[in-house]
Amino acid sequence: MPINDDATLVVGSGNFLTAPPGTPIPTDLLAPTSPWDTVGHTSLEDIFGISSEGGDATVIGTLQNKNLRTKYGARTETMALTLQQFDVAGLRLFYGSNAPLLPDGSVGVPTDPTPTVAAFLALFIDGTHHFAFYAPKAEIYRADDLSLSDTESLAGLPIGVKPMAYGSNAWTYAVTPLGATNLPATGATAGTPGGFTPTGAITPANLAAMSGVVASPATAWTTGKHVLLGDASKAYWNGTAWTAGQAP
Amino acid sequence: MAGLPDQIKALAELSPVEDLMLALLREGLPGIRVQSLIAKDQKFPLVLVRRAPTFGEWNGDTRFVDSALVTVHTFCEDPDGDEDAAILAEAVRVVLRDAWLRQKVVPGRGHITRAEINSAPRRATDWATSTGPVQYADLPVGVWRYETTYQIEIRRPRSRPYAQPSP
Repeated sequence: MPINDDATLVVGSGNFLTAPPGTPIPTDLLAPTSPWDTVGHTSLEDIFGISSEGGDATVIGTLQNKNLRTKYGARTETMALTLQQFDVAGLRLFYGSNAPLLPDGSVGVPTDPTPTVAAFLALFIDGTHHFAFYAPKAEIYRADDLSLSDTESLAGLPIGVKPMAYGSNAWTYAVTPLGATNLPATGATAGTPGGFTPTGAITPANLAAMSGVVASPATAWTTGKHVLLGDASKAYWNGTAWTAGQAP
Repeated sequence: MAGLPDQIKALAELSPVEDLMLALLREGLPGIRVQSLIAKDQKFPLVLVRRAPTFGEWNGDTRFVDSALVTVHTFCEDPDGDEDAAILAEAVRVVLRDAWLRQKVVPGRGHITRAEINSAPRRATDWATSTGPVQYADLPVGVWRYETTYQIEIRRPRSRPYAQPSP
């Protein structure tokens, strides 16, 4: 792997967003549009963390080979952040999406809390580059007990985000390679779906935005090959032009 | 005119901290003079930015991050020069914090990844504190100075400040 100075990350800023389950990752990560919405102020010191459970390795052997292969158990992961915005939306992320708003304006703490189910995006910015965690579906709920321990710092609500498999996905969340901001895609590679180049480039918004994008391979793409566009539609290269859908 | 050979300049990865601070503060404080040296016939209000000496360990990353102690002096004239200089110092703090949180990149200079106050704005009655400007003996009559020290972390520019010379 070549040395790539541009792939190093120093987190300078960031943001956490939610949207209805299944919402695709924003086309422009630095300018997410509706229905993506920020969760509000979060801690400057305890920015973000991921912990996991499970994933234990079991060595399977035979009489002839004691270490034939290794089998790994399922691993569940929890993303942690500290919310510092004590409004109704923030309190419901902590206490449960079914926390009722009482007649006097206060938020009731439910006896049988229900986690908030939403798409989740954690975005970290390093100058002109960005890095993100995206889960199309996640359960968001309190990660720890609430403690108001001092008068010197902002109080926080410890929030846990558990990515879940969405639909038929064989993955729970995705990590974007470090990419440059506002870098347009110059090439598209065939796949199911394919990808855009250079790495981290912004996905073209729609079919019209594909003009000027160079197809790889340049010959007509084979059956099923396509790329996903920003408007969630598909496009493929028929040998002479970009066409909506996937290669027949 | 003598100067550094291009191949020597091309070795530089970091650029002077003052250059990044001047660019950020000039954009964030329109109408305010932001300098790193005092002019002979200096006009006010003025923000003076200088890197200060650090003692002990340098906290940067030898490859990607510079760490600098920076002293920011704000000067304002009467009437209300004392209060104005304090307000200007606070405005500087907000500009630097926003440049950090909004990841404002200055081409060829890099961007701030952390800006913290080490010593809060305080009134200084003359030029002559240990980190203060000493170009001139006395602070002009009716001019007030506030001094603030920041710890600034700077991500070096993605491309080197000076291009490789063409072969």
